This record gives sequence, structure tokens and C-alpha cells, in this order.
Amino acid sequence: MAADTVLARGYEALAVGNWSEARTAFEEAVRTAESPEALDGLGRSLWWLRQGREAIVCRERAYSGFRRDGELARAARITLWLSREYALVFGNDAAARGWLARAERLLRDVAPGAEQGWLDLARSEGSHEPSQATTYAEAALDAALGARDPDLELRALAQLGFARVSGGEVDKGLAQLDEAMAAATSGEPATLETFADICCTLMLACERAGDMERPQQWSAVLQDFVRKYDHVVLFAFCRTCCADVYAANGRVDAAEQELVAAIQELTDAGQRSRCVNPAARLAEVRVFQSRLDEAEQLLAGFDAEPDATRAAVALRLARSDPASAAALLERRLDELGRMSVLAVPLLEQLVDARVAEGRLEDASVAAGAIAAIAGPSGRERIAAAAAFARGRVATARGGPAAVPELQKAVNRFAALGLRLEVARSRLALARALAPSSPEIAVDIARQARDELEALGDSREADIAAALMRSLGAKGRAGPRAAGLLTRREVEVLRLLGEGLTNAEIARRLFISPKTAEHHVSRVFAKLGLARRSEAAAYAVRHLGPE
Amino acid sequence: MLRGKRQGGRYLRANTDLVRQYYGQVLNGRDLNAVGDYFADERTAAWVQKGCFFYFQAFPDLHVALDEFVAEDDRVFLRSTMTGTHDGEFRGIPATGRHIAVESAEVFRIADGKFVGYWCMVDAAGVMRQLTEEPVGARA
Repeated sequence: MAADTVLARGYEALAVGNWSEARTAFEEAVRTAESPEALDGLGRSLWWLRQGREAIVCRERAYSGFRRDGELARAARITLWLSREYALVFGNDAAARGWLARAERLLRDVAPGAEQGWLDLARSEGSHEPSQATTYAEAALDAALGARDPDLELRALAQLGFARVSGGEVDKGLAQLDEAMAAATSGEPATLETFADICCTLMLACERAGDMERPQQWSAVLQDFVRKYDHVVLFAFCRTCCADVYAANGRVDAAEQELVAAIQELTDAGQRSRCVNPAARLAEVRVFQSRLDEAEQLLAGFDAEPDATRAAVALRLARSDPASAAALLERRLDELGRMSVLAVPLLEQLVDARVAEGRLEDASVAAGAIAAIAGPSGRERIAAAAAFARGRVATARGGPAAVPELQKAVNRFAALGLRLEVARSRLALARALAPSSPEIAVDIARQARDELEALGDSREADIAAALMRSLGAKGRAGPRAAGLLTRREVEVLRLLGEGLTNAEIARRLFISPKTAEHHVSRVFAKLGLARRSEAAAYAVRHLGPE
Repeated sequence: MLRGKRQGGRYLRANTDLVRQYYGQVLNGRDLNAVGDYFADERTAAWVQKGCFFYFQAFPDLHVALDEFVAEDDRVFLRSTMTGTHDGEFRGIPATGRHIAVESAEVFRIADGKFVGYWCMVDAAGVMRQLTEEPVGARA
């Protein structure tokens, strides 16, 4: 087969997302007649097949080839890609700067046009200063419009949105990201790389802005779009994003699987995450699941990083250490500023921490800050968060305002389709009702428990069950798991594996020491064990780290 | 005779005032905790509390207008109109944002400043109809 035909086959496969076939074609092209085009195509295929290092090797060789042939624009495009890969995935800033400088030199004598725009896009991505990143992204967008380069236009638009979100212009930024996503899912861009990149940028921006509605809103559109291609292949470019979409839809188990796989892959490849750190995400999931030791292990070494704040705080709150949770939040809020939309997720946790500490005046200030941000932002999610925060503070104070505020929070979260937040505010509502209306409180707590269990938030489900018991209602019997042990007994076994005493198990699962003791003896009897050390060994062997 | 009638008038006024106060504090004032202060029987209080709670959840801006009182002996008859916006789930119907208005008829029996008997008829079918029926002109 002629070299050109093979190359054409490769490009065709790339365009429809058939990466293996693309690789086969380009490999054949490299074998029969090595050219920079063939190496470049092979590099792109390998990147999609998650062979990041091999992709870099191929594209570095393609770069040399293009330079030799005097194709400066194509060579420059590769240097920009290399710069980005080194920065994002390998955390190698020196290499990233080196390749960027290379691109600048190559493009010095090239007339203004799309290539200069790609350079500005790279500069924007490499800039840590939001205003500078915005300026470069705007320049890239101008260049794209002038040169009629749809890939560059959408990438630049998304990057501009991201830079604006980072600088605190959240609504404007997210609107631009929405625009880029809308265009990308309508099939406007020429390459799937652009599509993938815009998805990542959107997720990262939503993470930064604490906007969990948006990934959910886009997930339906995305899934529709990826069905046209191969779902697995297209979503596999970023398991963390995929997990985010699952989590936003209340599919915690699916999110967990994606995150575990993402961390494994990154560890194996010695790479960093392209966007949100999956370890921080998984740590949050582990706190949900009352698997606190595992959460701590995941966060070890980077729990002071901004990325990990939310998970680190959740862990401290779960460990009944609200003072250090609050200190961490206050530090982060000092860096970020307290009156920006970006502060809302931290302020929400701060309310929890201050209430837990009994510092109600401080809790009230944090709740007031959320309300003050909610108004001008015009965002329903933040208005709901404000009602939730005010309701929790009022509950701690014991006033009649708690119930209406929390009812409002339930309704607003429900209108947004945020099921986990609905369940959590319902639990808070049950707690507010408990002193004066125990009967209603039991009903509401039961509803909250069922919702939380269905969503995989077993920690809060346990708290709801404990509240029901304290009000005289029967707790759950514990639905039987597939195996010999009930679901509850599996939880107990896991904690035995962590070496916890009965009293510690009781505290962790919000049950009485007597109930914990009962579960432990059932586990021993069912598994024919005699000693705690045997149970611990059994847990490690049979439950695995999961 | 005349004296007795005047005394009776004060007594009846006190009874309607108690009902007014109950509506002001519990229904329009959203104070669920106060329900127990008005009803002599705990079970009735718990039942009323539950009813109020679910209406508050479904219609956070709920307001009851007290249209007409008739007081006789130890009883107060009340005709009222409840209005509100459907912003929360109500009997399995997710929020529709619709504005509803329903009439109710209630009888309170009062002794020693408490409700010792309570009978009420809310136009529940009217609520459901207003939440579920297709608005006029919805069908093309």
C-alpha cells in the first residue's frame, strides 16, 4: 500500500476515535517510509491509548523531522503540545518552559496567524497569574477568529473561561466554558483532542468554582455525544472527570471505581493528573464511606495543597477535630478571599466546623458570608447553601428559624437535582425537628437515611440511623450482603482490620458499644474466628484495600 | 339577661382571638413548636404539627387568610383561604412553582384557653387538582 494511503487511513481512524486502528496504520507508515507525519500520527494515537511517554518520544522525533523539512509551523505546534504534557502530566516545569521557549523562537519569523494564537494559548495555560492568563487567552481567541481555526477558537474560549473563573469572574467564565462545550458537542471542532481538552477545562473550572450542577447538566449531553464514538475510549481520557459526572448523578460506587483506576494508572505511569487530583476526590469518597484510615493514606503528603483542602477538612470533621479543620479553612480563605464565589465550598465546611466547635458566632458569620455572596451571584446553588448554613446555625442555637430555613434548603437543592445535598439537608432538618417534634423528626430522618444509603454516603446514613434510634425508633436491621456477613458486619470486619477496639468501632459507626460488641461477636461466630488478630488478618486477606 | 349576653360576648371574643392568635403564631408565623401550647390533647397536637410541617415544606410562602368567624357556645367556626407557591414536594408531586388557593372549613372547641376539640376540612382534592391539571391552553 502506498505511504499516502496508509497515512490517510491513520488520519481517518484518528478522526473517528478508533485509536488502535490509527496506531496500526501509523506504525505501518513509520515502518515502510518514516516521515514526521507518520511519527506525529503515531504519537497522537499512543497518547489516546494512554501511553504518554511513548507518545512524547514519537512526537519529539516528529518535531525534529518537521524542523529539518522547514515546516516551522507544524514543528512549533508539537513543541507547544510537548510543553503542555511536561507541565501537566509530569510536573516538569523546566522541560515545559524549555519547549515553550523553543516554540517562541520557531515562530519569531512566522507571520501572525493561527500559530501565534496557539502560542498565546500555551502562554495562557502556563501563566499562574489569572489576569495575564486572561490577556493571553483573549489574544489566542482573536488569532483563532482571524485565522478561522475552530480548534483554536474553542480551546481559547475554554481557556479564557477558565482564566476568568480563576480570577474570580466566575459567571462570565463559566458562561464562556458553556459556550465552548456547546460548540464542541455540536461537532464543531476538527479533532477529538479539542473536545477532550474542553471537557477537562470545564471540569477543572467547576471544581475551582465549587459548581457541581454544571458537570451534571453537561453529563447527559456528553454521554449522548460519546455514544456516537466509543464511550469507553472517549471518556477514558480522564477517569477523574468521568468520576465527577458519576458522583454528580449520585452514582458513588461508579465514581469510586473510576477514581481507583485513575490513581492506579497514574501511579503506574509515574504521571500527575491532567486536571483534578483523583486522590483528593477518592479521599472524599472514603470519608463518605466511613473509611477514614484509607482517606488519610490517600491524602498523606499533600493534604496542605489547595486541591486537597476539601477532603482534608472532611476527614478532620469526621475525626471530630473541628478546630484543626477550621484552622485549615481559615488559612485557605485568607489566600482566596472570603467574598468570592470560589470561597463558598470552603465557607460551607467552615459552618460545619464552627458549629461542631460550638463557636456559633463564628458559624453565623460564615453563614452570613455565604448569603452575602449568594445575592449578587444570582446562583441558585449558593442561595440553597446559604439556607442550609443558616438552618444549621439556627439549629445549634435552638431557635424556630431552623426548620423553615432547612425546608427551604431541601426544596432549593431538590429543584437543582442535587440529590446528595437534598439528603444532607433533610438530615439536618430531622435534627432541627428532634427536640420539639420527634415523630416528624423520625420520619424525616428515615427518609434521609434511605436517600443517603442509596447514594453511598454511609457515614451520614449512620448518623441518620443513630438519630432515629435516639428518638426511640428502630434502627435498620442491616440488609443482607451477598455473602455470609450482613453489610453492617462487613463494615465492622473492615474496622477490625484497621485494629479498632469495640468502643472505637461504636464511635465510628454511630452505634452503642453494646451493639458494636454484638456485631463483633456475630462476625467471629460466622467466620469461626477466635481472636481479634485473626479477624484483622481475615479482613486484610478477604476485603482487600479496595 | 343583658349582663349575661355581654359576658357571653367577651367570652366568644376571647375564643375567636385564641384562634386568631394560633393562626398568627403557628400557620402564618411558622412556629411548629408552639402547636402544643394550643391543643389540649398531645396526639391531636402531633397530628396538626405533622400536617403543618408537610404544608410548610411544599408551600414555603403559605399564608392563611381568615375570611369569616362564627362563635357560639364553646365553639369557633372558621372559613379560611390558604394560598401558597408549590416550591417543594407535596404528596409525591415535585415542585411545580404553581400558585394555589384553597378554602378550608374548621371548627375549634375551646375550654380553659385550649383547643379541646378540632375538626377541619381542607379541600385536598382542590389542592391536587390545582397542582396536576393542565393549565388552560396547554394543549395545542
